[in-house]
Amino acid sequence: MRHNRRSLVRMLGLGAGAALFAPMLRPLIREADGQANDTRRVVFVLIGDGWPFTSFSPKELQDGIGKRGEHVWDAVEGPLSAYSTHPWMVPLSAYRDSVILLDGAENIMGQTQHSCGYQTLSCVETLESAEGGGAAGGITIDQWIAQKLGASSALPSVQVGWRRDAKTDFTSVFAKGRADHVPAISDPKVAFSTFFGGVSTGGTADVEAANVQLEQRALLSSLRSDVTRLQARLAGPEREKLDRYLTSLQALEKSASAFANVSCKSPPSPDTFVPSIPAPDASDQPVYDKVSLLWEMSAAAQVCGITRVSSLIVGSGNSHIFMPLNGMGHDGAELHGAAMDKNYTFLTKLVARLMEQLKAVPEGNGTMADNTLVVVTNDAAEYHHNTCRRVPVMLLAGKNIQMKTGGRFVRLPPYKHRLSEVWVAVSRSVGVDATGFAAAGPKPPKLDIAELSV
Amino acid sequence: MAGHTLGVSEQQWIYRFAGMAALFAGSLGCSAKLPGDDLPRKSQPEAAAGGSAAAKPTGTGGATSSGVGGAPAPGTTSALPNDPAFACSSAARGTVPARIWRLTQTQLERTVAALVLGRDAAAKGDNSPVAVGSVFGAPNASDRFSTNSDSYGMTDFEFTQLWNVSDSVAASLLQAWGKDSQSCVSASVDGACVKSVIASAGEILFRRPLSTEEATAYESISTNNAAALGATRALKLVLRAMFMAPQSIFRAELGEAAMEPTVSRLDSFEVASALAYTLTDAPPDAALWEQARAGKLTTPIEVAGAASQLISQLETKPAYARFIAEYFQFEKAAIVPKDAKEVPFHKPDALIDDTRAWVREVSTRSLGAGFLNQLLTFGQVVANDVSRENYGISSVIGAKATLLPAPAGERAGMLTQPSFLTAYSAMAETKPVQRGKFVASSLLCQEVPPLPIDVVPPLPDLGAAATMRDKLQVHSARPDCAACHTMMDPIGLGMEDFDHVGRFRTMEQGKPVNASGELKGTGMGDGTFNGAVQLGSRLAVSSVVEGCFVRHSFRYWMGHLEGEGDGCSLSAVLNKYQEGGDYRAALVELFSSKSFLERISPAQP
Repeated sequence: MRHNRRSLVRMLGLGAGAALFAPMLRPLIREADGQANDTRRVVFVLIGDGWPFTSFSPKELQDGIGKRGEHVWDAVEGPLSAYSTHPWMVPLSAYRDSVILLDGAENIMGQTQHSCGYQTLSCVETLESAEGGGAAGGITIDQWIAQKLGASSALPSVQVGWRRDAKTDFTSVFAKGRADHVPAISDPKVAFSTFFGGVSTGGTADVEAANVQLEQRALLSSLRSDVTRLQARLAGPEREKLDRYLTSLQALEKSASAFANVSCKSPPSPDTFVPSIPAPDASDQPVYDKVSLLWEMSAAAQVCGITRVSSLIVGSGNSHIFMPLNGMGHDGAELHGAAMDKNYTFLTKLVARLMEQLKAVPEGNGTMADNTLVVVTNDAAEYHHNTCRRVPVMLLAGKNIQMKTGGRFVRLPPYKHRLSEVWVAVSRSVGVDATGFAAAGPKPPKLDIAELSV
Repeated sequence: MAGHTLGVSEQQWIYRFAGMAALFAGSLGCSAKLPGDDLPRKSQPEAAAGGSAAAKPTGTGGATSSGVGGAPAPGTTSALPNDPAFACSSAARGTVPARIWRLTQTQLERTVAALVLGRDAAAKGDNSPVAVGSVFGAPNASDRFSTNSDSYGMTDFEFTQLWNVSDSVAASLLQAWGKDSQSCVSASVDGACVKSVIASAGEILFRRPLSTEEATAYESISTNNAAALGATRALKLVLRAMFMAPQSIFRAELGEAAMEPTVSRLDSFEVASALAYTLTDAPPDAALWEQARAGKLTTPIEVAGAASQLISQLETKPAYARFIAEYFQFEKAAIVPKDAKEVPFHKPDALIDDTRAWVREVSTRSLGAGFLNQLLTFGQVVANDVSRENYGISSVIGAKATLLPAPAGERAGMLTQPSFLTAYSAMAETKPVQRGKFVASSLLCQEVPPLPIDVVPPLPDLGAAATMRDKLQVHSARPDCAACHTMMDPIGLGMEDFDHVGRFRTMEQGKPVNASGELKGTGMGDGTFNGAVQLGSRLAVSSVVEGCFVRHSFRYWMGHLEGEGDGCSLSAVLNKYQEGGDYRAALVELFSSKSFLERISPAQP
């Protein structure tokens, strides 16, 4: 006899109180849902404004790099333990052996001087050249993975982010395909209602959750009828517009159905949140705290099983803007130093906190952390005014991720590997075939990266 | 980047960027392909305009109109005999299938505003107490015009956004109505109230009265959920359903019972909405709605009357300002980076504001007579102290944008507006190829092939003393580049009397500027010219340019490329325009034409 989450919870007699024990029940529930063999997940972290060689490479490996020597380097590989540690790596010391710092993958499509925008994760040219702008030219790797990993999730993926100059929630470097962008939510309240609005959290809140689900069903049913009434009167591309509406509707129906099987213990509330990672710069504390909260919510969405692909973008999708300093890194390597390290350290502390949260949740024979891959990169690549010839990528992989990390620094041979090949390796490492990814780009992936492949 | 001091490495970057910009400018059109070889991109309107029943469009913008496409077939008439786009045959039928357009963000907001404020206030753009939130993104940046109906579908993201805002929109509506003593919502939400709300809101959201089937379906949502949710929350759910319905989010041009097997005519409600949303970005005002209700928008004369009302104040309509801006693309000046050390005074936003004000001035003076001519030749400028250096005005003007005579002989018409010239420039130099391409493709409707992605030869390095003309002449002499560059360079080089921020100049690289150019394909304007002012005056008297302007107007206002079946409409619009250059009259003709009123019905299974 098979059980779904609800029936299992009822069988165990825990009722609404089961939410408190969700982490412990999750392995049982997954098994009941037939998901025991596929629990891998991915977390993407994208930062804007460049991650210069001087801050990314070990200090001992900076010889031979010119002042802005984007085009001249030698392949290097060595253990991180052999080199001095950048301040931003300190929070991840406990995970050092699970990390690989990868330098030298090129993304020729990203030569926009500032953010590579959608091109960072799609490696396909945007539809109109503009700094961090233009419509997406193709699917980004996070969404590629989400199609598979997120197929049975309440939310196939979640995206949160912040950008100083963003006027709306449209900020994004993610896309499901050509001209089909996926926004990063920047309003914590919107993030909360999107991730946890229809989720059982126990007690009286469950009555409201039931009402929300009732409304969703009625609304979806009504919309479906409305679509049917209109469909017969259209043909060709006009009919396709309606089909697209219907596809979105179906995705929402699926999501609503999956939400009905999710419970979540005390997701972080925008109204009561107390950041666990202190802001490194008091003058911009609200910004740091907002990023912390958004991160905590996306982490909770992973921990609660709402999604298996989550992303955070900070200052990405444009050019000059990172936190807390406008234009940081504007004048090349000389100004990167401490200010940039401060911000990267803040972000690696967030990553470390996520790993702690995941480690606390049993899954399979280990913990959720074992099944998690964290990808950190910079959509402005190696400099504020970049060439995207050397995109820095940090990968932190749990033991069940098929990725050769091992606490290493790897500088790939010059111009040999494309960034799209890194994304292919990332996709494969979590069990998602990447055949065809970035195929529409002028430089589709063609090689395996031996330095990453298991 | 504006406002910071450049360091050494920054300067290096600028050189790199400038080099890339030069590559782009220099390579434009460098292809062995012949005009017409390249099919339109998918993102362009014609790629999807067809559907199964649509006629093929006549071109992308298009060589066929420049006189090279041959004369129309015997038995047809044409306002431009050498241009098949204007060929009018009595057998020709419309081009556009029954279609739906997703509302724009502004249209969505105005529609919701009408639910609270009423039709007239929404049409005027009054502020609404109901905030809709961000739902729909910017238009497709790849489209020539933002009004390409093919691009108004809906993405997953937009659907999700719509879903997310629907609850707060419905709640805000109920709150607003609850404060209105005239609304039944302020008393008690009973069955009669639900019916009344569904009927009245439905007319605005669906842009027509609801069918009995639709009304019953929405009433049942309330009936079925009132016990669990309460009457008010159940009504909110009804409003969410109506707000999100495709009939609400997409405005329909389906047509009523077919006049002929494959052709139908928009009904009065569809006509009212098409006019109102196109010209005002809002639902029909009360008067127009009453005409629709009375079925008085069925004949071309009736529609022309309604269109005249909306077009009478055309120069005040944002949709009109958008058309002129998108046609000339002067607002792109804002995204062309400049070196603040070289041109510290340059403030592109101020230049754009100047041109907007200048267009209003020209429109006010000449929309009714000689409009296009004045757009290309009007001899005054609008400037203030922020922008005056771009215009070469040395005397203090003040902070307020002011209409001034342009320096004599130096500047006249849109082609000499600094915003326009900046938009067609690189960081530190002009882009004569791009300037020439604009004139060739957008004013003469000659087909210029797109930039081939695999061919990007650099401009030659001829040393610091070389002028742009020197470089382009070497570059364009390459056999694989010459075919296309001959369409653009002779025009664009004739605008070299203006630099990359739109300043008039007599010297370049220490030498007297050579701004000689040559025009072909304009009819009576053909021949050599000197400078952008002369270029504008030549183009201003060309019937080919008038025809091209009419074609672009058609594309913008109708939301699709012209097709073979649109020749009669285009011909009539051009004839009307040529009676005296009355653009309003030409638009009334367009909005009462078959191209506006007729749709091709879906093929029956």
